[in-house]
Amino acid sequence: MTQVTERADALAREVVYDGEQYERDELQSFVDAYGKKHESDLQNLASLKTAHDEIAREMSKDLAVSKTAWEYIGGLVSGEFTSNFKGLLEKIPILNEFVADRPLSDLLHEKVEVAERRTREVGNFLTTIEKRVGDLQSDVIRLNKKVVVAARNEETAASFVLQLRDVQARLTEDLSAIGDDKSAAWRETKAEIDEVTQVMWEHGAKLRLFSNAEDRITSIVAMNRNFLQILTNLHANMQGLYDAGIEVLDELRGNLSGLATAAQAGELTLDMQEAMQSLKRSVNRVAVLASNTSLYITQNVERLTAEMKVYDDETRALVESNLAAEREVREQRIDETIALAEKEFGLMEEARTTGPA
Amino acid sequence: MSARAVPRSAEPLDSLAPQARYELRGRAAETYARSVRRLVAGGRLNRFFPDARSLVALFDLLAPSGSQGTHDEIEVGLGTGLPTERMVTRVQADASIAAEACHDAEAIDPTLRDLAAGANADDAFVRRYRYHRALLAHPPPPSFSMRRELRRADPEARAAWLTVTLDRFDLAAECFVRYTILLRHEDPRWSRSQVRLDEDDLEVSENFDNLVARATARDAELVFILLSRVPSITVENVTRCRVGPLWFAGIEAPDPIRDLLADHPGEFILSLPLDRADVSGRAHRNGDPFGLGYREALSRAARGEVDELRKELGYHVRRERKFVCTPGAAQALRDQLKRSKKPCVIYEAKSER
Repeated sequence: MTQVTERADALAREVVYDGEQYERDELQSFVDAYGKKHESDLQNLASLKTAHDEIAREMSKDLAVSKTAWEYIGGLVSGEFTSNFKGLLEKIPILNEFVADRPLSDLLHEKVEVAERRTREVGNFLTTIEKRVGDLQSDVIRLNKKVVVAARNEETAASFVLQLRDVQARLTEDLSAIGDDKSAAWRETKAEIDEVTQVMWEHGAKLRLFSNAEDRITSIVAMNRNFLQILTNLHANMQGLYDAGIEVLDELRGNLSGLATAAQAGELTLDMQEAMQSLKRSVNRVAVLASNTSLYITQNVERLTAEMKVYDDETRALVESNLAAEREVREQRIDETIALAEKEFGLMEEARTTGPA
Repeated sequence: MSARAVPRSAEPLDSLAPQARYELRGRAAETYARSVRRLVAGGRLNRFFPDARSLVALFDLLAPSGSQGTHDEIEVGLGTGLPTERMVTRVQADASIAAEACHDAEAIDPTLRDLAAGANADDAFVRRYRYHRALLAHPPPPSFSMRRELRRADPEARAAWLTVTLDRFDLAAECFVRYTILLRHEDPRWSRSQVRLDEDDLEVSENFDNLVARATARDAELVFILLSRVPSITVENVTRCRVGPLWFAGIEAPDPIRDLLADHPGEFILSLPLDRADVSGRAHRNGDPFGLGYREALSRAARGEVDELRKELGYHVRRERKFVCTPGAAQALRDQLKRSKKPCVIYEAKSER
C-alpha cells in the first residue's frame, strides 16, 4: 500500500464504537446518579439497621415478657397460687370481682400473637432484603456489561489513535524530506498532518472518555458488591432471628392448646419446667443474635461511609484529571491559534515593511 | 347471691380440644378455603354471630390465591374441620404488619402500585405486596375484641343497662364465637364501681373487662351464672353463637353426620350453634340435635343444684343450631334432622359460578 493510500484510508476510516456513545456530561450525570443512589443506599442501610434494632429489641422484650408470663403460669399450675387448675375438674373457681387478671389462655395467646407478629416482621424484613439483593445483582450484571463495552471501545480507540500516530509520524518525515516550506507539496503535507492531528485528538478524547467510563463504572460495581455482601450477611443473620422466633412460637403454641384445654392441666405441669428452660434458651439466642447483627450493621455502615468518601475522592480525582486534560487541550489549541496568529501577523508585518514584490 | 361453688361437668361441654392436625397444600388448600368461604357467606349470620364479612375475608386470605402464593398451606384441626389457631394468627399477624410492609415496599419500588394493579405479577415481591394490600382492604377478624354499649341509665337508682359484645377465637374449640351479654350494673355504695357514667360517656373498669373475659370461656348458661355471682351485676341475657365445627369426610363428627358424609364424599356441612340463657324466656328448650347442654352434662346430683340456680336467677336456656351446607348434602341432612325430631334451619351455599 502506498503512503498516500494509507493516509487516505486512515482518514476515511469510520471507527465504530459499541453501545452507548458517551458524552462527557452524560457520563458525569450517570456517575452522579449512582453517587446519589449509593448515598441513598447507605441511608437505607441505616434505616434497615434502625428497623432491625427495633424489631430485635421488641422481640427480645416481648419474649422476655412471654417468659415472665410463662413463669407466672408455671407458678399457677405448680400450686404456688390457689385455685385455677388443681380443683378444676371438681369445681369451677368463683369469679372474684377483685381478681383483675385476664384469663391465662388469653394472656398466653396474646404473647403468641405478638411473637408471631415479630416473626412476620422479620420475615418481611427478609423479603425486603431479598428484593434489594435481587435488584443489586441485576444492576451489577448490567453495569458489568457496560464495563466490557467501555473496555472494548477503549481498545478500538487506542488502536486507531496509534494507527494515526504512525501516519502522523510518516507525514512529518515526508515534510522534513520536502524541505521547502513554500512549496505546494510541503503545504499539502502540512495540511494532512493537521487533519490527522485533528482526527487523532477527536479519538484521543474518546479514548480518555472510555477509559474513564470503565474506571468509574468499575468503582460503582465495587460499591454495589459491598452493599450486596452486607445485605447477604444481614439476610443470614435475620434468618437466624427468624428461626429463633419460630422456635419460640412453637414452644408457646405447643403449650397453649394444652392450657386452653383445662383437662390437660396435669400434664402441663410436667412439661412446664422443660418448656421454660427451652424458652429461656430461645430468648437468649434471640438477644445474642440481635446484638451481633446490630454490631455488624453498625460496623459496616461506618466502613461503607468511609468507602463512599474514598469513592467520592476517586470520582473527584477523575473529574479533576478530565478537566485538566481538557484544559490542556484548550490551552494547546489556544497556543496553536496564537502561534498561527503570530505567524500570520509576522507575515503581514514582513509584507508591510518590504512592500509589494 | 351466695358464693357457693357451681357444679362443673367432668368433661368439657363441647367436643374435646382438637389436637390432631392435617395440613392441606396447594390445590387442596385452595379448594378447602373457597368451600368454607362459600359456606360462611351463605350462612346468613345475624348480629349474634361473629362478623361474617371479616370471616369471609379470613378464608379468602387463607387461600393460597388470597395470599398471592405467600402461603401455600392451611392446617386444619381434625376435631373442628376449621383452620387451627396457628393459621388464624398467621393471617392476623400478617394483617398487623401490612401497612408498614406496604410502605417499605413502595419505598423500594415506587412503581409497585402500578405493577400490582397489572394483570400479570409473577414477581414474588409484587405478589407479597398485593397480599398486604388485600389484608389492609379486607382485614381478618381479631382473636379478641369487646364492645360495650350503654342501653339505658337510671341516675337515681345509680344503675346502667349495658350490652357487652365479646368476640373471640375460642382456643379450646378452635372456632370463632360471639357472646352478647345484656346486663344491669348497679353502682355499689361500699366498693369500687365496675362501670362509671360521666354524662353520656361510659367508662368501664379494666376489672370489669377482665371479669367478662374470664367468664366467657364456656356456654351461655355458665357465663350467666358466673357473671350473676359478681356483686353489682344483674345478668339478663347471655347469647353465645359459634361458627363451627365444620364437618366433611375425615373430620371428627357425630355418628349420623359421619355416616351421611361417608355417603356424600366431597360435601361440607358448617354448623352454626346458638345457646342462650335469658330471663325473658318462658321455658327451657334444647332444639340442638348435636349439642349437649351444661346441665345435661352434669351428674344427677349436680343437676339439682343447677335447677335451684335456674329458679333463683330466673332464666331459661334455649339451644338451637342452624346449618349451611353444600347443595349435595342438603337433602340428606334434612332427612337426618327429621329423623332426630329436631328440625333445624338449613341453608344451601351457593355455587361460586
